[in-house]
Amino acid sequence: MKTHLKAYASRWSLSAILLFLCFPQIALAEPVETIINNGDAANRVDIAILGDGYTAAEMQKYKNDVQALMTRFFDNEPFREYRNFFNVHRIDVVSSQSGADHPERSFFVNTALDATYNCQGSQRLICVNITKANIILGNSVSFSQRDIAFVIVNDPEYGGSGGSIAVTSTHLEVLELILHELGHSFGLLADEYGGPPPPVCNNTFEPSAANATKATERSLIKWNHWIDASTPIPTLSAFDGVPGLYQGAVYCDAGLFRPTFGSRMRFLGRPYEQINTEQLIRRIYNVVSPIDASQPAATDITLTTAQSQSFSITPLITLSGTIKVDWFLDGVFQSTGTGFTVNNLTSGAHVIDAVVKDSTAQVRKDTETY
Amino acid sequence: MEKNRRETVQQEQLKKLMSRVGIDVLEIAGRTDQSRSYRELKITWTNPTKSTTEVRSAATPEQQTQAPNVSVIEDKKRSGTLPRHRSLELSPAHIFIAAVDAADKLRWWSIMPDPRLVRGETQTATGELRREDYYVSNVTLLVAFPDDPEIANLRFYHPVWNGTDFDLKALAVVPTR
Repeated sequence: MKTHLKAYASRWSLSAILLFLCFPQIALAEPVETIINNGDAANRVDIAILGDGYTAAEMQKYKNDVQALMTRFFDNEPFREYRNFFNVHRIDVVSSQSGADHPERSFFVNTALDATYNCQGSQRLICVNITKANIILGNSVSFSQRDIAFVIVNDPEYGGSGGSIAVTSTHLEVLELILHELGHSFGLLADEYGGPPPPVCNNTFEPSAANATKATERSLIKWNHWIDASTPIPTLSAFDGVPGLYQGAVYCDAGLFRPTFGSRMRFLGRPYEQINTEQLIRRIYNVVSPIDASQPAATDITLTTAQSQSFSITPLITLSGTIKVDWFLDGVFQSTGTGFTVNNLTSGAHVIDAVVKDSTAQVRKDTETY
Repeated sequence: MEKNRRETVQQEQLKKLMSRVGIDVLEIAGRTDQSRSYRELKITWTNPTKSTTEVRSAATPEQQTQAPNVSVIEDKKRSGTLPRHRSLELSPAHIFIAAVDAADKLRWWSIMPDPRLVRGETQTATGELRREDYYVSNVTLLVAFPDDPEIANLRFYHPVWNGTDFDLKALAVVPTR
């Protein structure tokens, strides 16, 4: 069974779309370059990237590091498929000195965001000054241009952190950590690993996240629509990419279950797998409407019976071209395509609906509740 | 059609959520997102517990629900429209912001990642991850809301999952006029 993702109907009551055309005009405190521009920030997932520990002489290195990071970021699903739904803004923050603090070896530098390794005694945990980062973000990009914020720290040693602003060093493998952290902050996904604590295991009730459950009855499992009828419940195999019910999740070794054996929410270097990918796509659609624009702007149109009238929709485009526009006249399907023209209407009231659907196979259940 | 059904479902979810904290949701929209300008507040958010360190280990989840001391240090008007959340999906790692009028009617709402939270995750010898959360004691955050003269204050809540639903734990109220 497959349901279409986000079916949108328009009866030309789309006045809000006109507002998307208005870009905020603000003074930029730091130079900003939009390195991936797929459209109006009001209808895209916008990533703002700040650098720390890059001196003025290292700005070209910063640009190269950001470009490399984002190239690898968009090599990962579902961001690859939905690349056109994203904008990326690089904020050129200059630091007085290069690198990051390493208190474990009494090495300290003066940088714009005070990045430091060994935060809270954890060598690989890099903390930055969130206040300074937020102030630069606020002065440099508009609110709609910072749905997601990253800081890239000019230091090759492995390290990073998650939270409202994800932090990564320039170590190539830290992208994996960023992708995992985005699973939390953007996808609202839970960790799929067990204990020991901290954090504390609480398996007394059903978790809120889309990728963890207490349910052991097949029909009650949130991701049941992904589980093959032949897959045993609970699932004891250790094969990757097989949706089932695997014991151990959200810091509990028992009593809570995850959807696959080892996704990116449990191990780094793995794909998100089906259930988490589905959730991430739903979350992309939390920010982005598949309709970018529509014509005509008027919602009530009067024609003579001899007149014709053209309508059009500008939909977003996925890599696989999964988004389609269907046109209906008075509830009856007419055609598929971005435009539709009516001719020789009978006198009386008529309704034109444009329904935009994303029929991606990566989403089997489109719902906000389970 | 589908869009209307979605909006109706979201409206009902919003009403249910807001009713638990005494806020009325207007029938029409429950939010004013048609303004062509918005206000952006720069707010300092300070943990009430005396601490000299910027980042502290989160010993208990209750730390996240401690009401902070908040103060507005900047209030700017900006042109443009605000992005709109198209679903009401909540998470304990986020903060729910309700903009209400003087009669406690909801004019607008938003969800943002909790700016105090820092997640540290490291790999064990088997490659499996382990996590430890930290909280920043003092943080400056930016909050945007429509430039709507009816909005009297912003209310900040921490969503707390009770096993079937989210409850909203009040964190702070910031007057906006």
